[in-house]
Parts: sequence; structure tokens; C-alpha cells
Amino acid sequence: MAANPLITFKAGKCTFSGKKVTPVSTPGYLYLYFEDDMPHFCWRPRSQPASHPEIDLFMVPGDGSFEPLPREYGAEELHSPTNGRIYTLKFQSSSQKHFFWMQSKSQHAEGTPSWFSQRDQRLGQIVNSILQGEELDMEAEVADLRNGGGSGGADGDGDDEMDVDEHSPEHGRHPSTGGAGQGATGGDPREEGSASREGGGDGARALSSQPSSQDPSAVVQNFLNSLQGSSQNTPPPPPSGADKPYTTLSDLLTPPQTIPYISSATPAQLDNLCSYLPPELFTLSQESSSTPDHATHTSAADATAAIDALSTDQKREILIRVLRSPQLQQSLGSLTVALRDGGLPIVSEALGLKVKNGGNVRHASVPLGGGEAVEAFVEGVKTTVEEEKKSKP
Amino acid sequence: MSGGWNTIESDAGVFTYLIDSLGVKNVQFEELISLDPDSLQALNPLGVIFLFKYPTGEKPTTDKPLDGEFDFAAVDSQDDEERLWFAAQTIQNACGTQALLSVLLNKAGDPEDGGIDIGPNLGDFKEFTGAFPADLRGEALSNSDLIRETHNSFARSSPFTSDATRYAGEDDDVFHFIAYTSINSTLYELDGLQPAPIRHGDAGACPSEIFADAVVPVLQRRIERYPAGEIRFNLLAMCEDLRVRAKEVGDAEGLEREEAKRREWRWENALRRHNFVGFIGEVMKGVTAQKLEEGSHEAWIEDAKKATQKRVDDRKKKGEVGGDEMDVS
Repeated sequence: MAANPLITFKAGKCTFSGKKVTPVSTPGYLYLYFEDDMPHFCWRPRSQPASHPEIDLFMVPGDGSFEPLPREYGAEELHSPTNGRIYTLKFQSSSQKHFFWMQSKSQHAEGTPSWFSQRDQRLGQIVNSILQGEELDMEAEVADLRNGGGSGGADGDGDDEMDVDEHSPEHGRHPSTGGAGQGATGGDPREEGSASREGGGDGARALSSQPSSQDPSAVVQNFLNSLQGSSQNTPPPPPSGADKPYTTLSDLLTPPQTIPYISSATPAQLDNLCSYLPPELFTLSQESSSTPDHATHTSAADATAAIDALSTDQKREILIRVLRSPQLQQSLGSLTVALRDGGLPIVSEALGLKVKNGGNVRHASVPLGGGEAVEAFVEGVKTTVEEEKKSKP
Repeated sequence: MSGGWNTIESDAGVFTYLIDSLGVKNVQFEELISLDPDSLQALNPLGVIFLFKYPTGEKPTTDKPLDGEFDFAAVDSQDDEERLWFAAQTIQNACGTQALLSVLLNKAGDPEDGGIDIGPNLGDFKEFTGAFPADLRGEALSNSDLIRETHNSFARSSPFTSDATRYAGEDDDVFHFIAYTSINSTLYELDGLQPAPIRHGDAGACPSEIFADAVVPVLQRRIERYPAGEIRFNLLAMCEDLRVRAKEVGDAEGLEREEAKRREWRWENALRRHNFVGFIGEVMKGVTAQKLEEGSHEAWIEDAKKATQKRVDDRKKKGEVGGDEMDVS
């Protein structure tokens, strides 16, 4: 079924009239699956599950072909006549045509978006072979693509916008990056009007104060906010080779893991933890139904008083409730994302953790990314804890 | 120069305290579990907010709405009293707040006469934008520092997921908010992505008293437009503060229930606003220290890795959204 595709890759659809092909900016996936031994050629927007393709073409083996649209036939290097990589789906049985454009990042050393890399060509050949009814060792093919195929691991969300005109000589044009042509904004409905266009500079979103306050949590929060603006436009730092998932903070700090810690923590440790929570939690605990409800802010003095007024058991209860809360789960998720997306140096500094190489790739000033960053974080916490223990009596 | 708007949850507690922070008096939201006129009527609703996963395929229509009629006249009316407050949506993330305001600003008035006390801030805003066309009102909303900052103060702490990590388990679907209310005894659908308010039924045929009965079939028709199982939606009714009503009728139990609900909401909102980075750091250190002492640190990490891998494998099997693991490009 459509839920078990043979091959999937990032591609967008195009519309065309006469000689002009126009890309549609919606990020999507092109994929093929077999049903009753017949290949289906599908496309879906990335927001849809594989079981709901927008395009699902039932192909007769041998009838369809999938080829790159070249600027000139027989040239040594394969370039598209446009400033993007276009493939054509053609049929023997009819003059119908469909055009698609590769949405993965260009692998060209200088980022020329019209260049079909070895890997791009191989992808196209695989699709073509499937449509032709050839037998393929799909596992081997996919492994090949993932491991080699040109410059390693072309991860990255290259949602290239581009102008496409099938026969006009766009060769001399600068590769357009972001916001070009069609007024496309990457098709992601999450983008907010004009505000998000200013790269990551929109640091003052959730927090009204810029990081002139040295509150480490605020520095991290600003980093997270800046990721929101830029994650649509710049790909995360490429993981080296095949990215191992490692694990996430959500999988590490599950209630079964954290609650025993709370249960055995000393009163001093509990007070310390409570100081990192919003003061309202403690004043709320004291409220009874006779207290009128005000959404007023609790002062630090009120908070300390409220914490002191609570028993150790009450504090444990509150902490456990927080550890189970969906809001904390969301935070664990977003902090994991921050680590994976190059935020390790910032986070480890904010938390005072001893992380190898300050969170950067060895001998470089590029932050670690992906699962490696999370691993370095976990190791950093371990190192820090061990050192703190040594320095205590 | 408008700043950014973050996503907020569509939750009765969030919305209630959001409008409270803006200065609205005595109004709250209640989630509707079922779409039946009686339970809606029991709340004596001022309006209904319908939110649903926005199907990217369905474009806003420009000539005729799929149900009902565009009522451009209502927005253009020269009569201040008659004119409907309607704003074009300019910012996706402001969607929810915009829907709330579209009901509030049209119901503003003397509570004695069944209106809402929207407070001085929104009162000023309404007056300021009174004579604007819809798109300019939308601009004014997105440029309003007060409204934006209040909105953002309720933002969820995980407003995004990176393409490479669906591990957070969060849905980053796009949700769209639409408001339904009775204005000038007429049932209107207020959708910022449409060019005008949409009138359902005849003008004057829907006084506030029968709003609940009138709106339910309209909502049902809307829901039926989408293939079954394709649409995820939520309904929030806007109504008078239920604690006030409980006090008025002397319902002590009901009052206690509502107060307890309010404490829940304030708890959740306090957590929502909170930056957990420091707390997570401390918990991480504490658990790590305990695991090291027990000699179970490695086992802890390995178990977590297994759980992560299992989730990745499960997604692969289901062929789920954002199939990074299957993506060879």
C-alpha cells in the first residue's frame, strides 16, 4: 500500500502550460509503491502522511519514464535549463507529462542549483527502472544512496525557491536563494507574514528583554526563538555521515526515571529544584476556594514565603506533578531540538556544563549537531556531576 | 514594525486568561465535548470558536463561500452601530487571538443589555480601527504591541520542530480558527482568511437566544465537508464567567467546581509561560548523580536509546508524516 513506499525523496510538483514550467513551492515527497505488482507513482505534500498522496498514478510497467530535463543533450555535466533540477515523467501510451523538481539541497561544490549530481541522477535512474518494470535490489540501492552518491550525506532542507522557464536561457542567472520568483515563501503555512523574513534576528519574540540580562535560561530561550525563524531557511548543521538517532531528553527524563530521584532527594535538593520553578505554583497550592481568583504576579518574596510554608511532601508532590506535565514534555522536546540544531555550546554554557570542545566539532568552530550533540550533552552532565562530587567533602 | 507572533494552544484556560489579561471582564471559554444544541445552550454562549486542522488543499474562495453568503455590506455600513468589526488575517500565528477578538469586539456593550465589558484597552482598539477596511484592521491587530505581547506570553515552549527531529512527538499541524456569533440578530461566520463575514440564514433570523440552535447545523455541515477521519477539530464556546452564574443561582457545588477549574488553568498557564531550561539542567544533573551512585548510568542511557530507536522504527512501519528515516534525498 501507499504506506510502504519503495523509495521516497524530497520533490515538488510543477504546473506547466505550453512551454513554461512553473514550480509549486509546496515542500513534498515523491514516492513509489507497489500494489498487485503494479507500480504507483505518487506525490504528497510533506504535511500529509504517505497513505494520502495528492498524486497517485497507476503505472503500467514499461509505460512510464522518469528523466532529468537537460539543458543540452550529451553534455559532460548534466545541468537543467533552469535554475533548479527538473525531472519529467513521460508516458509511452499518451502525450501526458508531469514535471517535478528536486527539493534536496544541491550537492554542487558551489551550490549551483541546476546541477544534477551523481546522486540526483542515480535517484532518477532508480525511479525510471522501477517504472520500466526492472527488478532492483531496493535495499542495496537505498543503502548506496544514503552512504555514497557524491558528496556524503546531503541532508538538509533545501527548499530552494526558483524561477523555472523551460526554454528561456536562465544559465547566466544567479542561483536564486530564498524569496525569489513566484513570491513563494517555501509554502509553509507556518511562516508569519513579513516578520519571519528577517533571518533569525527576531530574538525578541517570547521574551521582551534582549540578552543584556545574563540570565542563562533567557539566552537559551532566545536561541530557540531564533531557530524558529531560521529553521525554514537554513538547514541544520550537517551530521557527519549517517546520523545515529542516539536519544532525546524526553526519552531520558521520563517520569519513571525522574520520580525516584524526587522521592529520595534531600530537603535542600528539593528547595533547590523548587527555586527553578515559577513561584505561582507554590502560591496556588496554598489557595483555598475562598480566596478570590486573581491572575496577578507573585513577587519573589511571596514565592519564598510560599515555598517555606510548604512541607517537604507538598514540595515533592508539586515537583512530581511538574515532571509529569505536558508543558515540561514540550520543553524537553524543544531543548533536544536546540541541542541537535547546533545549540550545544550555548546550552552548556548557560547551564555551566563541562562539555568536550565547548560543544564544537573537534578542531573546528562548528557546533556539533544531531545525535552527537545530545550525546556530548549527556557526557558533559556526567563529567560535571563527577567533578562537583570530587570537590565536595 | 511588527514583531513575531508565537503559536499558542487552543485551550479554554489559555483563551480565558488571555482575554482577561487584555482587560475583558467576566467572560470565559469552555470546551465543547459534543456538538449538540442542548449542551451548548446550557452555557448561554456569546459565540463559538471552531478550530480545525487547515487542509492545505482548500483555498479560500473568492467568489462564493461553500456555505452561506458573503456579507460585504455589513462591514461597509455607514452606521457605526450597525457596522460589523471584521479583520483580514495577516499573520498565521495570530489566528486564534484574531478569532477571539472578532467575537469580543462585536459583542462589546453594556453588560446590562447583554453586551460584554471589553475593558479600556480593547475599547480603544475598537474605536481606533472602527473606520478601517478589513485588511487595515488586520494590520493594526498584528502591529498592536499589547495584543501581541499578551498573546505571546501564553506561547507554548515548543513552537517548532526541526525537520530532522520528529522525536519531540509534537504535531506541527496548521490549525485554523473561525468564529461564529450572532450580531444584529444575524448568524455570522467570521474567518479572517475570507474576504468578508459570511452570513448563514437570513438577516435578522438569528437573535442571540437561538444562537446555539442555529449554529450547530452550520458547524455540522462544515465538518461533513471533510472526509471522515481527515479532520481534527476543537470547539470552544465563549460565555459568561461560570463562577458568576453559579454565585447568582446559589450553586455552591458548581462554584467550587469552577474555582477548582480556574486553579488548574492558572497552574497550566504558569507552566506554559515558564522557561524550563534551568530546571531541566538541575533535574538532569540530579538524576545523573543518582544513576552514577547506583552504578546504573550506562543502563539508563542504553534504555533511552532503545526507546528512541523503537519510535523511529514504528514511524517507519506506519509510513508516518515527515518520513525522514525513509528519505533518501
